[in-house]
Amino acid sequence: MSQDVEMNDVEKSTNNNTDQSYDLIKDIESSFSLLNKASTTFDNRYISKLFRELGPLRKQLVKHEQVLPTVISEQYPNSHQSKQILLNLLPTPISTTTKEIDSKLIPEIELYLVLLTQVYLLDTNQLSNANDLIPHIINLMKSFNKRSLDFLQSKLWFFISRTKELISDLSSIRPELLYSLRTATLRHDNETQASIITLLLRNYLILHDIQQSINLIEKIEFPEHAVSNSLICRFYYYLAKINSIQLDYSMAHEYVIAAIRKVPQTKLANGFIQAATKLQIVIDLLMGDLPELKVFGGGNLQPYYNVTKAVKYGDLKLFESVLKSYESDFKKDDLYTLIIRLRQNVIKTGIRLISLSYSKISLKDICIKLHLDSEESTEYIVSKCIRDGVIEASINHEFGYMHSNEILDIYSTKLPQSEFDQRIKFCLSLHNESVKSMRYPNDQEKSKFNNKEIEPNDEMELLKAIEDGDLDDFMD
Amino acid sequence: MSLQKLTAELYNLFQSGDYLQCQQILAPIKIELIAHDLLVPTLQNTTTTDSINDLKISQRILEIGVLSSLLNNDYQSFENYFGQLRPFLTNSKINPSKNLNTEITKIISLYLIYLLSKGSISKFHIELEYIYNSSNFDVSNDKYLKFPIMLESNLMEGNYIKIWNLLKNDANLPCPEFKHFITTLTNALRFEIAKSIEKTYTKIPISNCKNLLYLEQEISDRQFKEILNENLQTDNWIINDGFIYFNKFENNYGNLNVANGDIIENVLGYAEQIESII
Repeated sequence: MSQDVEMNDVEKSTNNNTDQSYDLIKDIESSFSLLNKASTTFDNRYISKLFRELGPLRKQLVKHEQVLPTVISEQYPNSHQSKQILLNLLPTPISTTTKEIDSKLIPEIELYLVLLTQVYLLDTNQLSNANDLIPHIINLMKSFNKRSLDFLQSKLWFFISRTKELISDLSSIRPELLYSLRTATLRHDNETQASIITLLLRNYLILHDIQQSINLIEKIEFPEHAVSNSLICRFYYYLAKINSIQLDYSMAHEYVIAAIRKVPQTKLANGFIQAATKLQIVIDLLMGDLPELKVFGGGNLQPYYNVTKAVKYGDLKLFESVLKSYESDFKKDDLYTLIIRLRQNVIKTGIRLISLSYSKISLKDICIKLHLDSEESTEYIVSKCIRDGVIEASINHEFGYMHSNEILDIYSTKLPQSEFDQRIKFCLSLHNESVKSMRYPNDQEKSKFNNKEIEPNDEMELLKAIEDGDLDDFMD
Repeated sequence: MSLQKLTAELYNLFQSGDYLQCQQILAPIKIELIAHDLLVPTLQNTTTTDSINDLKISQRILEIGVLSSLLNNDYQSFENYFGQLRPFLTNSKINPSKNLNTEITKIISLYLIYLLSKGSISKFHIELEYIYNSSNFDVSNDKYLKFPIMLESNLMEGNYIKIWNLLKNDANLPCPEFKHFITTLTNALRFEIAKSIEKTYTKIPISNCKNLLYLEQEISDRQFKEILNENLQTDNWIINDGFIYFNKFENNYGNLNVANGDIIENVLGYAEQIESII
């Protein structure tokens, strides 16, 4: 629907603009009924439904800049103190209909309007105004205590953090975030809690305060089963990042894979997928694996492709030159420090290639092939590789050669079996997870009534089942 | 005594090299700092230039704390003081300009070496991540910071000979304080080498082994044995006829026999799951 409106927009002249503005006002006002429902039924799903329209709505609000102030001036009673605060930040409203509104503004609508204002200010790049609004929003959120505000609060925090990030004033918002995290945790506002956790992690990671983020992760419990998918993705991505910095590559690998698998399949998530894929490639390489060719398909991953090539050939010189030419790219993606660590992997792959091709080779030849400093250092490096399990070999010190052990037939061991077992278990748990997370829409009024009685039980069972079943939805 | 007097005395003591006395006087100073809200930089106490200047003095006090505890070989308090100093280093209001070859980078570099000698590689990288990405530091041109980073990358690569060359000559060290870590680093290095040796060789002449471990050729076999057992945890090394033999644990792939019990268990598990799906 929104697309249609946009397409028409191009053709129509400005005269129709005001008509559309009125339509938009009506649209927004009709969406208040959803908020009303959410308020009375305490069902946050109405609000998530509302948020599905938020993306197109943002564009519309910027295009018809008078819409938002008009809605606000109509909805807020004149005596309301925040009315002027909001209106001062926005363009003048269209019509000043001075009909006094008697009904009290419900918190859901109030927060929604504040959210729209904040988003509008961000979209029109009025950062200082957006920043000025933040204390007001925070106070407003603190004054309410209603479970139906959970989703709204989580979104508001997101945009507050985003604003602070854009004006690069990250540390001043931390106390508020931590304070609200505590409140949200105590009140079981899962969505807000999860949202604030990811925002804090992002905040710490932007400033490279890894220790701080590790401290946070140790203290919190992420409400994994009760929040929206995108938050879980972000959380896993940050975990992957933190773990990879701590050199815990296998954990990092699990998290980054989980993040990529859980990503919503829309165009909007492309940026996230790209960032996560870059991280995945680097982690794969650090673990000594080579990423599959198909991961390089999307987006601009040329620098990473070249790094992979250098590691694959075990060519130190190529690696150094790739590092030099793409340094700024890696720094921009914040992966430079991880990529520097790959140097040792390049050497290891080189030695592994040699070990595979020769059953017996002198250390001197290895030294020459890999451009190492001296024969002595080659001996140490090869020996370190053997110790790390990169190659199966032994060195004869007296005669100065490396002797590769014969490669064991992998199919005579239990490895394939356990690998197969892991995969079967993953598929089964994936199936179980999907069964559990299925939701049945209440399509008609009648069934709605019935469902409502059953639902809490269903919900309980679901939660219980999740707690009972020790399911890993990601593996490898 | 007032804070000014105490601080002046601390400076004097540090200048004259009485590090033990420094440690003792630091405790009352820190209490004074807490009383004046100067021990930790916060958003509130970094608003005026006066208070920032005061905090710079606190930073200097803590720096002396770090260095004097290191020179006293008190590593626990070295770590504590560094922890207290960290908020100052990361605060852009107190340290707005670029640090290159300064006291600050020296202290960070010492801390990095300390982590390395303790084997806390993961903490080492956490610190590194911050330093690399902070605009306050220029890693590749700082003679202090370059040193631990070079050590680490060579250690990970297994290029022990480079590290050895760096360590054996004091002239390579960026500053005299680094000497404190040489013994621990050398031990850590030998330990790493020993672990590699026992995996790599089936047998090796003792003299060659001494060479590899950078031990003196002159030490007697008994001394050599003692060093091995005490520092390097080499219980499975057998010395015989001038050769060292290593017991290899060949079974990298575990038991080659097929464990029938496991298979049955797994298959039953799958059957159960599939039944529930159908």
